[in-house]
Amino acid sequence: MLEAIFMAAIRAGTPLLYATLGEIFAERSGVLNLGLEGLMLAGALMGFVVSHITSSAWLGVLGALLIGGVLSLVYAFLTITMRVNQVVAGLALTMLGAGLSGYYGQAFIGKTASQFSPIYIPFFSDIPFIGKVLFSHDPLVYLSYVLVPLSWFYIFKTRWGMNLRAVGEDPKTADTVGISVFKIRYLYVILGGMLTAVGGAYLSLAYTSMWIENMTAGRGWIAVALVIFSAWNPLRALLASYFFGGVASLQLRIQAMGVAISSHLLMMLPYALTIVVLSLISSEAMRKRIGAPTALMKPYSREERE
Amino acid sequence: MGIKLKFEPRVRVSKSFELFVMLSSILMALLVFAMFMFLSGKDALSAYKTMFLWAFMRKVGLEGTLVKFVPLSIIGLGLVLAFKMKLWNIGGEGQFYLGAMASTLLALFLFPNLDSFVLIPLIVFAGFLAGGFWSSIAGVLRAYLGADEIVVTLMLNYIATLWSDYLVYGSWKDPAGFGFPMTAIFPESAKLPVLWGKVHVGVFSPIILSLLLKILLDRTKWGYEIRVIGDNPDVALCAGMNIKKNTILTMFLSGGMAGLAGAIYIMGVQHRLQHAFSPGYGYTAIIVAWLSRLNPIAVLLVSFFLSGIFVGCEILQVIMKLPISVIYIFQGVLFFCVLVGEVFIRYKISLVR
Amino acid sequence: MRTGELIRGGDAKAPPQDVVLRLKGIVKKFSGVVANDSVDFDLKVGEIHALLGENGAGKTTLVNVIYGLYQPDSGEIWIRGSKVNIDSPARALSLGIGMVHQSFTLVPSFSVVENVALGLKGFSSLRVVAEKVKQISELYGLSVDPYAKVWQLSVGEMQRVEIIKLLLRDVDILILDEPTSVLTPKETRALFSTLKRLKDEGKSVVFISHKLNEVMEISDRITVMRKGLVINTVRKEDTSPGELAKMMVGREISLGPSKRRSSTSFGEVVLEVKDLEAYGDKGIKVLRGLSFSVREGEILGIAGVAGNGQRELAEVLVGLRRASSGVVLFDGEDITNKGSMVFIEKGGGFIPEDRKRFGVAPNLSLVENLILKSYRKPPFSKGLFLDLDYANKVADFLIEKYSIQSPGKDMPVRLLSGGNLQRLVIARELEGKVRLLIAFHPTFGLDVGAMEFVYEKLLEAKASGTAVLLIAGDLDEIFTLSDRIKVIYEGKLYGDFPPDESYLETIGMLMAGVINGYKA
Repeated sequence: MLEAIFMAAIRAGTPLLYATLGEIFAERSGVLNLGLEGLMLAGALMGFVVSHITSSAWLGVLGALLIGGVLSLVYAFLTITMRVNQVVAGLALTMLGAGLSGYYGQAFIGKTASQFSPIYIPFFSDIPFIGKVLFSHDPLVYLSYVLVPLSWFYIFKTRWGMNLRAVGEDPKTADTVGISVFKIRYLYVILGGMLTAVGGAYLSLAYTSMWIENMTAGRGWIAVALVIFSAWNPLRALLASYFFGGVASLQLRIQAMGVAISSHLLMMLPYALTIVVLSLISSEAMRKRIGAPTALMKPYSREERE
Repeated sequence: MGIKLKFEPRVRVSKSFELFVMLSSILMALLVFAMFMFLSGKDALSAYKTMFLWAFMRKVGLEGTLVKFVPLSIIGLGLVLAFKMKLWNIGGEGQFYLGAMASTLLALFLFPNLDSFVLIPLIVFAGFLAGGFWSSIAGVLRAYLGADEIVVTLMLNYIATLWSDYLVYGSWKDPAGFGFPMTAIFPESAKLPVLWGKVHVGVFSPIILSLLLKILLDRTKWGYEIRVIGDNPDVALCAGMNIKKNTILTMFLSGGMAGLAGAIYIMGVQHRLQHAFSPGYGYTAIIVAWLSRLNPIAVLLVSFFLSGIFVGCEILQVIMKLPISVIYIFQGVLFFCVLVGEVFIRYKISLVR
Repeated sequence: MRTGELIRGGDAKAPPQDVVLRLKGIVKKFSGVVANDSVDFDLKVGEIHALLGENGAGKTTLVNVIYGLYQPDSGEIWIRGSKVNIDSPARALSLGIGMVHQSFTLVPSFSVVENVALGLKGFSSLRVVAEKVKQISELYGLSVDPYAKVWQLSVGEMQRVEIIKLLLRDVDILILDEPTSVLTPKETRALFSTLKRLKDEGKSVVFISHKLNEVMEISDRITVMRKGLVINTVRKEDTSPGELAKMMVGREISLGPSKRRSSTSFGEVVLEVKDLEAYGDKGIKVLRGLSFSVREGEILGIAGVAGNGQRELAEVLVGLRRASSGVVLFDGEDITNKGSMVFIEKGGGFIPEDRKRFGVAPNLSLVENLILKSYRKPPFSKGLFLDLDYANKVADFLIEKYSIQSPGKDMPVRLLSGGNLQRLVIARELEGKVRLLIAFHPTFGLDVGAMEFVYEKLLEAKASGTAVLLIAGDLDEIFTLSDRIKVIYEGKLYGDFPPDESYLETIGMLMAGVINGYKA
């Protein structure tokens, strides 16, 4: 029972984890990308379509990476080069992602595509409890196990990570020592978009195994909150995502057990929880202590005079 | 190094230049969208022709446009108020739902026997309060705990639609409705009088509300505080303004307007609560507010135009078999074009080597 | 090898060997306003060259052009005999040009060594960089702990980190923008000895300042700028402070502004502060038990190096920051933690240091900014509504009285220059019955003309019985205006001096933290 819940938490938390990781990279460079929901939808559809055509789920992931990269390139151009308001541009990206995926997805409703299925890792999968919870998943989950510590090490322990953090903290300083603020921001907004899109693809290629219009159901927005919750730290992002995944799957479980609570009410749970958690961690003092990037949402321009 | 974009802030911007850029953005969006349709193998030109003729020139189409214009513009006005204070109320959709739910509660369950001249104002007020209550949640959390209102209002949208579904699939379901997720039809006393076709008396409310909002923002002490806080909260604090109180009040009024729109919409058009009754008015209203550059009067024009696009897309759905989601693509494209247009208003952009 | 040397040819226009940097006809405009007007400038090998001028003369713009932060609209830059195009700070660094900005370019949440390593080409590990930092800091007398976080450092230490950062990148042209404005006299002397040492090694230094005595002390040659133009370049031996001052301002001025204290009899106590304590943004206690009082018609000057609690003190007094303990009495009434509204209603005025942040709403009009403190009450408003006619009339009157230059009273105030912005703030804060004025760096970033205007208005306010608390870093300003002087150091107040030059040294020592038995 507990085993199954934990296992389901990881499964349900993985799409959130990819999106949260992606957004951590973007925000660490000082760009808030509120278009996660749109990026996930686009990634979910693209992944599904490519997998449907090529019968390869991995190529589907590649497709998701591509669409995520292209859409966030547009976003990067608007917010970094054109200095468009990041809040509003993110909303526009979400609308566009929802619209495009809804339009092109029409033809794929009810279709099937090649899926990711669980892989049992010898020895590890046999460990009691842990084996079932951690090592009976599909490859995308295993990939995220690797990505999380790697991202943490990259951000906090490498020179490139130092450059990334410097740009998000104090772009002018980074610029004066010869780090290109523009290049770094473009790079990580695009990388972040790609990871987010993979989070979407996880939904259509592993989690629900089909394409449904608006299938992300607000997960992109929850990920925006999870980034704050995780204090821009990939390791905490893992815990936060699995926690939310747990709540989401608990709701399914309660339903399955036939408890007499309306499914509509149970479905509110993750959204309500997001509000509660966001409220608990948002006080200004808290935010400073956990280290929000100082230059978040501030476009950089060398020649702007004070 | 290659060619670079050079941004120079514009010192003065004339109203006519602003208008010119905004119209160009819309034109640009229409062009991009035409390209998209072309790529999908549709004849964009005839599609546009069909859309515009239907939405603005034919009686039935124009009725549809006016019917959509009412909720869109009222929610848009509410958002203008919040955006003026840089409060990102993205929850118009949920607040709209709350207004509609409150109206249903009054019309069907609490006071079905009241006379319409009592019931209708009562419902309007209840819708306003319900929408305001919903957005105040985000306002209070923002004011006292610093919770990001974008995420909170969005989460409240999901909760509101689920709540509404809970009701229309559950205890409020019309027993005579063949199992459809909707309530029974409202009593006659809770229906707005019709002017012609589907157009109801509520069509005047956006005009009145936009004038009121303009006066509020330009002429009153409170509107002045909202503008100062929106422009520079630090100086507002120095001047002794109460930012917490204003945050909550502004969010309340902003959501209240959306709730009001819900009440008018449900009494004027739907006459019942049903599953997914809004085609995303609350989200489209964000574009309305932004495209009108937070000018209450411009909101009327912009929402009328966008309602027409909405209705036009509906007819395309019938004639050209385009899925309704094209409207969201168009909205996304339009939104992007408007944002880029704004950059041209704020900066003089030139290419330098 | 420097990139600049690659394209060295027999160019007839090339500057002589001993000129390491030459600027020819540099023009830079901002939205049509000329900040540099065909500026010529030579920097010789192994010299300290001062760039002297008032605020707004175009010095900072010029060095930002050299450092690749701004692109000139026209003009040429020559480095070591080759014409170059400096399109980024990275390019400037590769040409051997380094700059210490007035507002430091350090990432506060990073450690010293991380800041030094940032953007450094080809370093192996932070430990190696830390070693190098230690070496350089010993060699040039720039002591600093490599592993301290930058936000914990004093301003003087941060400046040292900036210099170390550049020396580690082997720059041989150093630009320092107003380096002494944030230093204590003792730190200034240490900086000067470092600069002399660098000069002896053959490095060239551009030293920006508006302080004559410093310029005369440290530099070999001096270039004076005024209103975007180079007035003249002179050798130190050939000039005098008087001559420089004349070039700088464009007319004769008396050195050291005249003392203008009229009354010595003061009225009732208006502001009384007892044992005030408060925390800063980082959660550290920055005000640690302050007590003082200001009387009617008195100017109390609080001197100190930036970052010793001045900002927090001003914020607590005007009601923007909470005091953790202690009492603030305004005309005998306890206003501690009652908020800015109470402060305003009791007749408080506030001239903030950062006028753009705390002084104005940039996109609102002049009229709307002028009524910011009075809009609540008649005659500026009736009931719920503003009386815009009345506000317009008052605005006309104030714009005239305080000679605020603007494109129009309905235009957004972001279009105003710094000096006019300050006039607007002063007009608003001093109109009406002002019992108490908190002036926090009131002349920050202003040119001499605007500065004199501010002095005049402060003295007028004093003459009319207003109690003035002047918090400033510039000792000249403190001595010119104050009736009494206290020094703030690490959140405590020291001494109580009359504005007599003979106390200058003691006050300077106190500012540097040499307490010598003075009680807080």
